[in-house]
Amino acid sequence: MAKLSLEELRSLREKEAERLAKRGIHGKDVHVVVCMGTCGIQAGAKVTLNSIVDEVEAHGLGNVIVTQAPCQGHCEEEPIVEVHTPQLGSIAYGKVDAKTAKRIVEEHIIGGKVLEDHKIKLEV
Amino acid sequence: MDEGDLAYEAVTNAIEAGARYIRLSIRKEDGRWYYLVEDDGAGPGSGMDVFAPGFSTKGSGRGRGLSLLKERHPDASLDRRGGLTRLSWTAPEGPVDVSAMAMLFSKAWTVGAGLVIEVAFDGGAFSWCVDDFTHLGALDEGMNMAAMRKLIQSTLSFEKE
Repeated sequence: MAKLSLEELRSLREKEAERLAKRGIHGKDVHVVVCMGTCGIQAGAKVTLNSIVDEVEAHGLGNVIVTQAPCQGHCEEEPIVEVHTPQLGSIAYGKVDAKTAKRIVEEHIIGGKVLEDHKIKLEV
Repeated sequence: MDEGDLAYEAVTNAIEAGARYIRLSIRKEDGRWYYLVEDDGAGPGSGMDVFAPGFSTKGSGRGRGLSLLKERHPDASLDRRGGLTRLSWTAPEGPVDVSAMAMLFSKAWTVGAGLVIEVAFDGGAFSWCVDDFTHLGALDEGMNMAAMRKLIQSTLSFEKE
């Protein structure tokens, strides 16, 4: 078996580091979390999540990762979506239907503007 | 809640209860879908009425998923066999919820749980596992649920042709 040169080893390590970084949730710039507890699903969170995934796909946003979370204890505000971006920090939205989900992608993630009419405060 | 929501709930329950292996089997027979969720989690313990509203091992404010399932499908049952918890129910014929499947794979991958989904109908049978999507890049590239939906849908569509 041929020995790897130091240069080849460095290159391999960099390549692997890049691959592992992609696997990490926090390796992405924008993280969208949809609350998918029973209360969220009953309120339509699956439609909300599908809508966000569709919009992210339609706009070719490779820096966005979409994940799910359990109930956050604010059932009356479901479906709840949290958006984490380097520019705007963490913002939570309540009563997010398919139409609002589309707005979140277009106005918040792409446009960098908070949707004040749906913004809610989640207790930590 | 539709059938996809209920299946999502059932598998999510298992994942959140710490199961490392989960199998969702959806089989069509005599015009009905037979659902089975099997997992290697600790299970709820014997003698507990898991379908009672408010029953949960995950704290207050929880425990609605299984009671909703029972309400909608009175034949829902749960038992333990060979160290596995088995939740089953039947539902009328309807479309397979591909988006719920993609969401579940994404969720399972996030926590490192093994998930297998099997669908069998009209003489055709398909199964997917978390690794399928990892190898194809749909998970490694950042949990691309749109790509996962397409992959699952294309397999199911192939069967119909």
